[in-house]
Amino acid sequence: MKQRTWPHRTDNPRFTALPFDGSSVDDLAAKFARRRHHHHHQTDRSASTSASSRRVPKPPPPPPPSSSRLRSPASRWKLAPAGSPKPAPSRDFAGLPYDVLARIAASFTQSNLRAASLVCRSWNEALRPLREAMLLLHWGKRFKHGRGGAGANSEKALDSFLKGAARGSTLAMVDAGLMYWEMGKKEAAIELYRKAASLGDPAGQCNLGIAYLQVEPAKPQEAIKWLQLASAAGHIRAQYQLALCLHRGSGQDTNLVEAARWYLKAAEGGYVRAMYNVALCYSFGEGFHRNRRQARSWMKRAADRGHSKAQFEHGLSLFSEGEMLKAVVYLELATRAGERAAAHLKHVILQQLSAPSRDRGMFLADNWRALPSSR
Amino acid sequence: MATSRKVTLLSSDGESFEVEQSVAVESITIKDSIEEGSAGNPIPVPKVNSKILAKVIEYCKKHVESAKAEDRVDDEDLVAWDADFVKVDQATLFDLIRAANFLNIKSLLDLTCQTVADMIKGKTPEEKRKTFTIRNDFTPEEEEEVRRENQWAFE
Repeated sequence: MKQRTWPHRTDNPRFTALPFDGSSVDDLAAKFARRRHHHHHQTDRSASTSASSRRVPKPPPPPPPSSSRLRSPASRWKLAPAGSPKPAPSRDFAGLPYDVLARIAASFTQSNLRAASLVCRSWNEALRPLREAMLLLHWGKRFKHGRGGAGANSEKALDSFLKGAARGSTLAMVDAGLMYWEMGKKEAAIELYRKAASLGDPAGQCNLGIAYLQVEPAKPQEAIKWLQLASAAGHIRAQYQLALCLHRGSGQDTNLVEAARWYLKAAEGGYVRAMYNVALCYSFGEGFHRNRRQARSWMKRAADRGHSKAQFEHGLSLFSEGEMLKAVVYLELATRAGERAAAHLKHVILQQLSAPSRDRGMFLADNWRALPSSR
Repeated sequence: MATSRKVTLLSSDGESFEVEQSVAVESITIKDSIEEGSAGNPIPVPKVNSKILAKVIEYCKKHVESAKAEDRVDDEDLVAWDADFVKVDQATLFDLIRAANFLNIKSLLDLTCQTVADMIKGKTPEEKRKTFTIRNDFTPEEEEEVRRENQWAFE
Protein backbone atom coordinates (compact mmCIF):
# COMPACT_ATOMS: atom_id res chain seq x y z
CA MET A 1 0.00 0.00 0.00
CA LYS A 2 1.34 3.33 -0.98
CA GLN A 3 2.51 5.38 1.95
CA ARG A 4 0.12 8.14 2.73
CA THR A 5 -0.12 10.50 5.60
CA TRP A 6 -3.71 9.53 6.12
CA PRO A 7 -5.23 6.12 5.61
CA HIS A 8 -8.18 6.85 3.37
CA ARG A 9 -10.94 4.29 3.36
CA THR A 10 -12.77 5.80 0.44
CA ASP A 11 -11.24 7.92 -2.24
CA ASN A 12 -13.66 10.80 -1.89
CA PRO A 13 -11.84 14.02 -2.47
CA ARG A 14 -11.67 16.01 0.68
CA PHE A 15 -12.99 19.18 -0.85
CA THR A 16 -16.44 18.07 -1.94
CA ALA A 17 -17.85 20.52 0.58
CA LEU A 18 -16.29 23.50 -1.15
CA PRO A 19 -17.92 24.86 -4.30
CA PHE A 20 -15.58 22.81 -6.40
CA ASP A 21 -17.55 22.64 -9.59
CA GLY A 22 -14.67 21.74 -11.84
CA SER A 23 -13.55 25.30 -12.39
CA SER A 24 -9.86 25.83 -12.42
CA VAL A 25 -8.03 26.26 -9.19
CA ASP A 26 -7.42 29.91 -10.04
CA ASP A 27 -11.13 30.57 -10.19
CA LEU A 28 -11.58 28.68 -6.98
CA ALA A 29 -9.01 30.77 -5.19
CA ALA A 30 -10.70 33.89 -6.48
CA LYS A 31 -14.13 32.61 -5.43
CA PHE A 32 -12.77 31.84 -2.01
CA ALA A 33 -11.35 35.31 -1.71
CA ARG A 34 -14.61 36.89 -2.79
CA ARG A 35 -16.62 34.89 -0.23
CA ARG A 36 -14.21 35.83 2.46
CA HIS A 37 -14.58 39.54 1.78
CA HIS A 38 -18.31 39.16 1.61
CA HIS A 39 -18.40 37.63 5.03
CA HIS A 40 -15.93 40.20 6.20
CA HIS A 41 -18.72 42.76 5.80
CA GLN A 42 -21.39 40.53 7.26
CA THR A 43 -19.58 39.71 10.42
CA ASP A 44 -18.65 43.36 10.87
CA ARG A 45 -22.33 44.15 10.99
CA SER A 46 -22.96 41.60 13.68
CA ALA A 47 -20.60 43.69 15.78
CA SER A 48 -18.68 40.91 17.40
CA THR A 49 -16.80 42.08 20.39
CA SER A 50 -14.39 39.20 20.43
CA ALA A 51 -10.75 39.62 19.70
CA SER A 52 -11.30 38.15 16.28
CA SER A 53 -12.55 41.56 15.20
CA ARG A 54 -8.92 42.40 14.67
CA ARG A 55 -9.16 42.18 10.92
CA VAL A 56 -5.83 42.11 9.23
CA PRO A 57 -6.36 42.51 5.51
CA LYS A 58 -5.09 39.27 4.11
CA PRO A 59 -3.94 38.25 0.68
CA PRO A 60 -6.17 35.61 -0.92
CA PRO A 61 -5.96 32.47 1.16
CA PRO A 62 -3.57 29.69 0.25
CA PRO A 63 -4.73 27.08 -2.27
CA PRO A 64 -7.73 25.14 -1.01
CA PRO A 65 -6.96 22.18 1.17
CA SER A 66 -5.23 20.15 -1.41
CA SER A 67 -4.81 16.46 -1.32
CA SER A 68 -1.67 15.16 0.24
CA ARG A 69 -1.72 12.20 -2.09
CA LEU A 70 1.50 12.85 -3.89
CA ARG A 71 2.69 10.89 -6.83
CA SER A 72 5.73 13.00 -7.54
CA PRO A 73 6.78 16.56 -6.93
CA ALA A 74 5.84 17.43 -10.50
CA SER A 75 2.13 16.79 -10.07
CA ARG A 76 2.20 18.66 -6.80
CA TRP A 77 3.33 21.80 -8.58
CA LYS A 78 0.31 21.65 -10.83
CA LEU A 79 -1.97 22.20 -7.86
CA ALA A 80 -0.48 25.61 -7.10
CA PRO A 81 -2.63 28.27 -8.77
CA ALA A 82 -0.53 30.00 -11.38
CA GLY A 83 -1.65 33.54 -10.75
CA SER A 84 -1.80 33.66 -6.95
CA PRO A 85 0.60 36.01 -5.16
CA LYS A 86 3.48 34.13 -3.66
CA PRO A 87 5.20 36.47 -1.23
CA ALA A 88 5.09 34.93 2.23
CA PRO A 89 2.71 31.95 2.19
CA SER A 90 0.23 32.85 4.86
CA ARG A 91 0.72 30.66 7.90
CA ASP A 92 -2.95 30.47 8.54
CA PHE A 93 -3.92 27.56 10.71
CA ALA A 94 -7.38 27.91 9.27
CA GLY A 95 -5.81 26.76 6.05
CA LEU A 96 -4.42 23.50 7.32
CA PRO A 97 -5.17 20.69 4.88
CA TYR A 98 -8.25 18.71 5.83
CA ASP A 99 -6.47 15.44 6.25
CA VAL A 100 -3.90 17.00 8.54
CA LEU A 101 -6.68 18.47 10.67
CA ALA A 102 -8.44 15.15 10.73
CA ARG A 103 -5.25 13.50 11.87
CA ILE A 104 -4.76 16.11 14.58
CA ALA A 105 -8.28 15.59 15.90
CA ALA A 106 -8.34 11.82 15.46
CA SER A 107 -8.19 11.09 19.18
CA PHE A 108 -10.29 14.00 20.37
CA THR A 109 -13.17 13.46 22.69
CA GLN A 110 -16.61 14.68 21.80
CA SER A 111 -16.27 18.00 23.61
CA ASN A 112 -12.91 18.85 22.10
CA LEU A 113 -14.20 17.96 18.68
CA ARG A 114 -17.19 20.21 19.07
CA ALA A 115 -15.08 23.11 20.22
CA ALA A 116 -12.67 22.61 17.34
CA SER A 117 -15.53 22.47 14.85
CA LEU A 118 -16.70 25.87 16.01
CA VAL A 119 -13.41 27.60 15.36
CA CYS A 120 -13.90 28.44 11.72
CA ARG A 121 -15.53 27.09 8.61
CA SER A 122 -12.67 25.14 7.20
CA TRP A 123 -12.10 23.37 10.49
CA ASN A 124 -15.80 22.64 10.66
CA GLU A 125 -15.68 21.06 7.24
CA ALA A 126 -12.48 19.19 7.88
CA LEU A 127 -13.84 17.66 11.05
CA ARG A 128 -17.18 16.62 9.66
CA PRO A 129 -16.20 12.96 9.17
CA LEU A 130 -14.96 12.82 12.74
CA ARG A 131 -18.21 14.22 14.05
CA GLU A 132 -20.03 11.53 12.15
CA ALA A 133 -17.66 9.07 13.72
CA MET A 134 -18.60 10.32 17.18
CA LEU A 135 -22.23 9.69 16.43
CA LEU A 136 -21.44 6.18 15.30
CA LEU A 137 -19.36 5.67 18.41
CA HIS A 138 -22.27 6.80 20.54
CA TRP A 139 -24.66 4.41 18.83
CA GLY A 140 -22.14 1.64 19.01
CA LYS A 141 -21.90 1.99 22.76
CA ARG A 142 -25.64 1.92 23.07
CA PHE A 143 -25.84 -1.24 21.02
CA LYS A 144 -23.10 -2.82 23.04
CA HIS A 145 -24.68 -2.16 26.40
CA GLY A 146 -28.28 -2.38 25.24
CA ARG A 147 -29.87 0.88 26.23
CA GLY A 148 -33.01 2.71 25.28
CA GLY A 149 -35.22 -0.32 25.58
CA ALA A 150 -33.22 -2.46 23.20
CA GLY A 151 -31.18 -5.46 24.26
CA ALA A 152 -27.47 -5.67 23.68
CA ASN A 153 -26.56 -6.29 20.07
CA SER A 154 -22.89 -7.01 19.50
CA GLU A 155 -23.13 -7.23 15.76
CA LYS A 156 -24.63 -3.81 15.38
CA ALA A 157 -22.26 -2.42 17.96
CA LEU A 158 -19.23 -3.68 16.09
CA ASP A 159 -20.64 -2.42 12.83
CA SER A 160 -21.11 1.07 14.26
CA PHE A 161 -17.65 1.10 15.75
CA LEU A 162 -16.10 0.02 12.49
CA LYS A 163 -17.90 2.74 10.62
CA GLY A 164 -16.68 5.25 13.15
CA ALA A 165 -13.18 3.89 12.79
CA ALA A 166 -13.40 4.27 9.03
CA ARG A 167 -14.11 7.95 9.51
CA GLY A 168 -10.93 8.35 11.45
CA SER A 169 -11.87 8.32 15.10
CA THR A 170 -9.33 6.53 17.22
CA LEU A 171 -11.89 6.15 19.99
CA ALA A 172 -14.03 4.11 17.62
CA MET A 173 -11.00 2.13 16.53
CA VAL A 174 -10.21 1.18 20.09
CA ASP A 175 -13.79 0.15 20.84
CA ALA A 176 -13.98 -1.87 17.65
CA GLY A 177 -10.68 -3.51 18.50
CA LEU A 178 -11.94 -4.35 21.94
CA MET A 179 -14.98 -6.08 20.51
CA TYR A 180 -12.84 -8.10 18.14
CA TRP A 181 -10.58 -9.07 21.02
CA GLU A 182 -13.53 -10.19 23.10
CA MET A 183 -14.69 -12.28 20.15
CA GLY A 184 -11.30 -13.89 19.94
CA LYS A 185 -10.35 -12.20 16.67
CA LYS A 186 -6.99 -11.07 17.96
CA GLU A 187 -5.37 -10.22 14.64
CA ALA A 188 -8.19 -7.91 13.69
CA ALA A 189 -8.10 -6.33 17.13
CA ILE A 190 -4.38 -5.71 16.91
CA GLU A 191 -4.72 -4.11 13.52
CA LEU A 192 -7.25 -1.62 14.84
CA TYR A 193 -5.31 -0.95 18.01
CA ARG A 194 -2.26 -0.33 15.87
CA LYS A 195 -4.04 2.26 13.79
CA ALA A 196 -5.26 4.09 16.85
CA ALA A 197 -1.85 3.80 18.48
CA SER A 198 -0.02 5.25 15.51
CA LEU A 199 -2.41 8.20 15.57
CA GLY A 200 -1.31 8.92 19.09
CA ASP A 201 -4.23 7.56 21.05
CA PRO A 202 -2.95 6.45 24.48
CA ALA A 203 -5.76 3.93 25.00
CA GLY A 204 -4.93 2.38 21.65
CA GLN A 205 -1.27 2.27 22.57
CA CYS A 206 -2.04 0.70 25.93
CA ASN A 207 -4.31 -1.95 24.46
CA LEU A 208 -1.81 -2.70 21.73
CA GLY A 209 0.93 -3.17 24.27
CA ILE A 210 -1.18 -5.50 26.36
CA ALA A 211 -2.24 -7.42 23.26
CA TYR A 212 1.37 -7.99 22.30
CA LEU A 213 1.96 -9.46 25.75
CA GLN A 214 -0.99 -11.81 25.54
CA VAL A 215 -0.65 -12.96 21.98
CA GLU A 216 1.10 -16.24 21.07
CA PRO A 217 4.03 -15.89 20.67
CA ALA A 218 4.32 -12.84 22.87
CA LYS A 219 6.14 -9.78 21.58
CA PRO A 220 7.51 -8.14 24.70
CA GLN A 221 9.75 -5.62 22.94
CA GLU A 222 6.88 -4.24 20.91
CA ALA A 223 4.65 -4.32 23.96
CA ILE A 224 7.05 -2.25 26.00
CA LYS A 225 7.54 0.24 23.21
CA TRP A 226 3.83 0.98 22.99
CA LEU A 227 3.26 0.89 26.74
CA GLN A 228 6.01 3.45 27.11
CA LEU A 229 4.31 5.80 24.70
CA ALA A 230 0.99 5.46 26.47
CA SER A 231 2.64 5.83 29.87
CA ALA A 232 4.45 8.97 28.80
CA ALA A 233 1.10 10.34 27.72
CA GLY A 234 -0.24 9.70 31.22
CA HIS A 235 -2.33 6.58 30.66
CA ILE A 236 -2.59 5.07 34.11
CA ARG A 237 -3.29 1.50 33.21
CA ALA A 238 -0.44 1.55 30.72
CA GLN A 239 1.87 2.80 33.43
CA TYR A 240 0.92 -0.12 35.63
CA GLN A 241 1.35 -2.64 32.84
CA LEU A 242 4.68 -1.14 31.90
CA ALA A 243 5.83 -1.39 35.48
CA LEU A 244 4.79 -5.05 35.54
CA CYS A 245 6.80 -5.74 32.40
CA LEU A 246 9.87 -4.08 33.78
CA HIS A 247 9.40 -5.82 37.08
CA ARG A 248 9.06 -9.27 35.59
CA GLY A 249 11.56 -8.58 32.87
CA SER A 250 9.53 -10.18 30.13
CA GLY A 251 11.89 -10.42 27.21
CA GLN A 252 14.62 -8.24 28.62
CA ASP A 253 16.46 -7.50 31.82
CA THR A 254 14.39 -6.48 34.77
CA ASN A 255 14.66 -2.90 35.73
CA LEU A 256 13.41 -2.53 39.28
CA VAL A 257 14.08 1.16 39.57
CA GLU A 258 12.07 1.95 36.46
CA ALA A 259 9.37 -0.48 37.50
CA ALA A 260 9.01 1.14 40.91
CA ARG A 261 8.91 4.55 39.30
CA TRP A 262 6.04 3.55 37.03
CA TYR A 263 4.19 1.77 39.82
CA LEU A 264 4.35 5.01 41.72
CA LYS A 265 3.04 7.02 38.77
CA ALA A 266 0.14 4.64 38.34
CA ALA A 267 -0.51 4.62 42.07
CA GLU A 268 -0.59 8.41 42.15
CA GLY A 269 -3.06 8.17 39.30
CA GLY A 270 -5.33 6.08 41.47
CA TYR A 271 -4.59 2.53 40.29
CA VAL A 272 -5.15 0.32 43.31
CA ARG A 273 -2.97 -2.63 42.39
CA ALA A 274 -0.15 -0.22 41.73
CA MET A 275 -0.59 1.21 45.22
CA TYR A 276 -0.18 -2.26 46.67
CA ASN A 277 2.95 -2.89 44.63
CA VAL A 278 4.41 0.45 45.60
CA ALA A 279 3.90 -0.48 49.22
CA LEU A 280 5.78 -3.73 48.64
CA CYS A 281 8.59 -1.95 46.83
CA TYR A 282 9.07 0.38 49.76
CA SER A 283 8.74 -2.48 52.16
CA PHE A 284 11.37 -4.69 50.58
CA GLY A 285 13.55 -1.97 49.16
CA GLU A 286 12.94 -3.02 45.55
CA GLY A 287 13.48 -0.11 43.22
CA PHE A 288 13.08 2.25 46.15
CA HIS A 289 15.07 2.61 49.30
CA ARG A 290 13.38 0.85 52.17
CA ASN A 291 10.90 3.20 53.73
CA ARG A 292 8.52 1.82 56.29
CA ARG A 293 6.49 4.95 56.57
CA GLN A 294 5.81 5.13 52.84
CA ALA A 295 5.15 1.41 52.70
CA ARG A 296 2.54 1.69 55.41
CA SER A 297 0.98 4.76 53.86
CA TRP A 298 0.57 3.16 50.46
CA MET A 299 -0.63 -0.11 51.92
CA LYS A 300 -3.34 1.73 53.80
CA ARG A 301 -4.36 3.58 50.66
CA ALA A 302 -4.69 0.36 48.77
CA ALA A 303 -6.57 -1.22 51.65
CA ASP A 304 -8.99 1.68 51.85
CA ARG A 305 -9.74 1.20 48.19
CA GLY A 306 -10.61 -2.42 48.55
CA HIS A 307 -7.43 -4.34 47.80
CA SER A 308 -7.91 -7.48 49.84
CA LYS A 309 -4.25 -8.42 50.25
CA ALA A 310 -3.49 -4.86 51.25
CA GLN A 311 -6.28 -5.03 53.79
CA PHE A 312 -4.63 -8.08 55.28
CA GLU A 313 -1.20 -6.47 55.33
CA HIS A 314 -2.52 -3.29 56.80
CA GLY A 315 -4.44 -5.24 59.40
CA LEU A 316 -1.17 -6.92 60.30
CA SER A 317 0.58 -3.57 60.69
CA LEU A 318 -2.16 -2.26 62.92
CA PHE A 319 -2.01 -5.40 65.01
CA SER A 320 1.72 -5.04 65.48
CA GLU A 321 1.13 -1.46 66.61
CA GLY A 322 -1.44 -2.58 69.15
CA GLU A 323 -4.42 -1.06 67.35
CA MET A 324 -6.63 -4.07 67.88
CA LEU A 325 -9.98 -2.71 66.91
CA LYS A 326 -8.80 -1.13 63.69
CA ALA A 327 -6.82 -4.24 62.88
CA VAL A 328 -9.86 -6.42 63.28
CA VAL A 329 -11.87 -4.30 60.88
CA TYR A 330 -9.34 -4.62 58.09
CA LEU A 331 -8.80 -8.30 58.77
CA GLU A 332 -12.52 -8.90 58.66
CA LEU A 333 -12.71 -7.12 55.32
CA ALA A 334 -9.83 -9.18 54.01
CA THR A 335 -11.44 -12.38 55.26
CA ARG A 336 -14.69 -11.55 53.55
CA ALA A 337 -12.75 -11.00 50.35
CA GLY A 338 -11.30 -14.48 50.63
CA GLU A 339 -7.91 -13.95 52.26
CA ARG A 340 -7.61 -17.07 54.38
CA ALA A 341 -4.49 -15.96 56.18
CA ALA A 342 -6.43 -13.00 57.47
CA ALA A 343 -9.06 -15.23 59.07
CA HIS A 344 -6.62 -16.88 61.44
CA LEU A 345 -5.20 -13.69 62.79
CA LYS A 346 -8.64 -12.20 63.02
CA HIS A 347 -9.79 -14.99 65.33
CA VAL A 348 -6.76 -14.51 67.50
CA ILE A 349 -7.51 -10.85 67.96
CA LEU A 350 -11.22 -11.34 68.46
CA GLN A 351 -10.43 -13.49 71.51
CA GLN A 352 -8.61 -10.54 73.00
CA LEU A 353 -11.40 -8.08 72.46
CA SER A 354 -14.37 -7.42 74.68
CA ALA A 355 -17.85 -8.22 73.35
CA PRO A 356 -18.79 -4.60 72.66
CA SER A 357 -15.51 -4.10 70.84
CA ARG A 358 -16.13 -7.19 68.77
CA ASP A 359 -19.57 -5.93 67.84
CA ARG A 360 -18.18 -2.52 67.01
CA GLY A 361 -15.56 -4.11 64.82
CA MET A 362 -18.14 -6.07 62.85
CA PHE A 363 -20.36 -3.03 62.59
CA LEU A 364 -17.53 -1.00 61.10
CA ALA A 365 -16.71 -3.74 58.65
CA ASP A 366 -20.35 -4.03 57.64
CA ASN A 367 -20.57 -0.33 56.94
CA TRP A 368 -17.24 0.07 55.23
CA ARG A 369 -17.20 1.46 51.72
CA ALA A 370 -14.20 1.48 49.41
CA LEU A 371 -12.80 4.88 48.49
CA PRO A 372 -12.96 5.77 44.79
CA SER A 373 -10.09 4.74 42.59
CA SER A 374 -9.24 4.89 38.92
CA ARG A 375 -9.25 1.09 38.95
CA MET B 1 24.56 0.12 -2.27
CA ALA B 2 27.03 2.47 -0.59
CA THR B 3 25.51 3.73 2.62
CA SER B 4 27.31 7.06 2.43
CA ARG B 5 25.53 8.00 -0.78
CA LYS B 6 24.67 11.66 -0.75
CA VAL B 7 21.97 13.67 -2.41
CA THR B 8 21.48 17.39 -2.72
CA LEU B 9 18.20 19.01 -1.84
CA LEU B 10 17.29 22.42 -3.17
CA SER B 11 14.97 24.57 -1.11
CA SER B 12 12.31 26.79 -2.64
CA ASP B 13 14.52 29.84 -2.08
CA GLY B 14 17.46 28.31 -3.85
CA GLU B 15 19.66 26.99 -1.07
CA SER B 16 21.36 23.63 -1.42
CA PHE B 17 21.61 21.03 1.29
CA GLU B 18 23.77 17.97 0.90
CA VAL B 19 22.52 15.03 2.93
CA GLU B 20 23.01 11.32 3.18
CA GLN B 21 20.54 9.44 1.06
CA SER B 22 19.47 7.46 4.13
CA VAL B 23 18.39 10.73 5.70
CA ALA B 24 16.70 12.10 2.61
CA VAL B 25 14.55 9.03 2.14
CA GLU B 26 12.88 9.59 5.49
CA SER B 27 10.70 11.59 3.18
CA ILE B 28 8.60 9.14 1.22
CA THR B 29 8.06 11.78 -1.41
CA ILE B 30 11.77 12.11 -2.02
CA LYS B 31 12.25 8.38 -1.75
CA ASP B 32 9.65 7.75 -4.40
CA SER B 33 11.07 10.29 -6.77
CA ILE B 34 14.55 8.87 -6.38
CA GLU B 35 13.30 5.37 -7.03
CA GLU B 36 11.25 6.46 -9.99
CA GLY B 37 14.38 8.09 -11.33
CA SER B 38 12.59 11.38 -11.80
CA ALA B 39 14.51 13.14 -9.06
CA GLY B 40 17.30 14.87 -10.84
CA ASN B 41 20.20 16.28 -8.90
CA PRO B 42 19.88 18.49 -6.98
CA ILE B 43 16.37 17.44 -5.95
CA PRO B 44 14.14 20.48 -5.89
CA VAL B 45 11.88 20.80 -2.88
CA PRO B 46 9.26 23.37 -3.79
CA LYS B 47 7.25 25.17 -1.14
CA VAL B 48 9.77 24.43 1.57
CA ASN B 49 12.15 27.28 2.25
CA SER B 50 15.70 26.90 3.50
CA LYS B 51 14.91 27.61 7.13
CA ILE B 52 12.30 24.88 7.30
CA LEU B 53 14.20 22.48 5.12
CA ALA B 54 17.17 22.82 7.44
CA LYS B 55 14.98 21.93 10.39
CA VAL B 56 13.42 19.00 8.59
CA ILE B 57 16.84 17.68 7.69
CA GLU B 58 17.95 18.10 11.30
CA TYR B 59 14.96 16.04 12.42
CA CYS B 60 15.53 13.28 9.89
CA LYS B 61 19.23 13.09 10.69
CA LYS B 62 18.54 12.72 14.39
CA HIS B 63 15.96 10.02 13.86
CA VAL B 64 18.06 8.04 11.41
CA GLU B 65 20.97 8.13 13.86
CA SER B 66 18.79 7.05 16.76
CA ALA B 67 17.37 4.15 14.81
CA LYS B 68 20.90 2.85 14.41
CA ALA B 69 21.64 3.09 18.12
CA GLU B 70 18.51 1.16 19.19
CA ASP B 71 19.10 1.58 22.86
CA ARG B 72 16.14 2.09 25.11
CA VAL B 73 17.90 4.87 26.95
CA ASP B 74 18.25 6.70 23.67
CA ASP B 75 14.52 6.36 23.17
CA GLU B 76 13.83 8.57 26.15
CA ASP B 77 16.47 11.02 24.99
CA LEU B 78 14.84 11.07 21.59
CA VAL B 79 11.46 11.85 23.09
CA ALA B 80 13.01 14.75 24.97
CA TRP B 81 14.81 15.89 21.85
CA ASP B 82 11.56 15.78 19.90
CA ALA B 83 9.80 17.81 22.56
CA ASP B 84 12.48 20.49 22.28
CA PHE B 85 12.41 20.34 18.52
CA VAL B 86 8.80 21.49 18.38
CA LYS B 87 9.27 24.34 20.80
CA VAL B 88 9.11 26.83 18.02
CA ASP B 89 6.96 29.79 17.11
CA GLN B 90 3.64 29.03 15.50
CA ALA B 91 4.59 30.10 12.04
CA THR B 92 7.46 27.64 12.07
CA LEU B 93 5.24 24.93 13.49
CA PHE B 94 2.77 25.53 10.72
CA ASP B 95 5.50 25.37 8.11
CA LEU B 96 6.83 22.17 9.62
CA ILE B 97 3.42 20.55 9.42
CA ARG B 98 3.04 21.50 5.81
CA ALA B 99 6.54 20.37 4.99
CA ALA B 100 6.07 17.06 6.78
CA ASN B 101 2.78 16.57 5.01
CA PHE B 102 4.16 17.45 1.60
CA LEU B 103 7.34 15.47 2.04
CA ASN B 104 5.42 12.62 3.62
CA ILE B 105 7.57 12.15 6.71
CA LYS B 106 5.23 10.22 8.97
CA SER B 107 7.08 10.58 12.26
CA LEU B 108 7.51 14.33 11.87
CA LEU B 109 3.90 14.71 10.87
CA ASP B 110 2.84 12.67 13.88
CA LEU B 111 5.00 14.79 16.15
CA THR B 112 3.81 18.13 14.84
CA CYS B 113 0.19 17.04 14.72
CA GLN B 114 0.39 15.84 18.29
CA THR B 115 1.87 19.19 19.30
CA VAL B 116 -0.97 21.07 17.68
CA ALA B 117 -3.51 18.64 19.14
CA ASP B 118 -2.17 19.35 22.61
CA MET B 119 -2.45 23.07 21.96
CA ILE B 120 -6.04 22.67 20.85
CA LYS B 121 -7.35 20.33 23.51
CA GLY B 122 -9.32 21.65 26.40
CA LYS B 123 -9.89 25.10 24.99
CA THR B 124 -13.10 26.83 24.05
CA PRO B 125 -13.52 27.74 20.39
CA GLU B 126 -12.63 31.34 21.13
CA GLU B 127 -9.51 30.32 23.00
CA LYS B 128 -8.53 28.08 20.13
CA ARG B 129 -8.96 30.96 17.72
CA LYS B 130 -6.83 33.17 19.90
CA THR B 131 -4.11 30.54 20.13
CA PHE B 132 -3.80 30.23 16.39
CA THR B 133 -4.97 33.69 15.38
CA ILE B 134 -7.83 32.35 13.32
CA ARG B 135 -10.62 34.55 12.21
CA ASN B 136 -14.12 33.42 13.01
CA ASP B 137 -15.67 33.29 9.58
CA PHE B 138 -18.96 31.79 10.57
CA THR B 139 -22.05 33.85 10.20
CA PRO B 140 -24.07 33.81 13.41
CA GLU B 141 -26.62 31.55 11.73
CA GLU B 142 -23.98 29.11 10.60
CA GLU B 143 -22.44 29.03 14.02
CA GLU B 144 -25.79 28.29 15.61
CA GLU B 145 -26.38 25.55 13.09
CA VAL B 146 -23.07 23.91 13.91
CA ARG B 147 -23.88 24.01 17.60
CA ARG B 148 -27.27 22.48 17.03
CA GLU B 149 -25.94 19.83 14.68
CA ASN B 150 -24.19 18.13 17.55
CA GLN B 151 -26.87 18.63 20.13
CA TRP B 152 -29.77 16.55 18.90
CA ALA B 153 -27.93 13.31 18.44
CA PHE B 154 -26.86 13.01 22.02
CA GLU B 155 -30.10 13.91 23.78
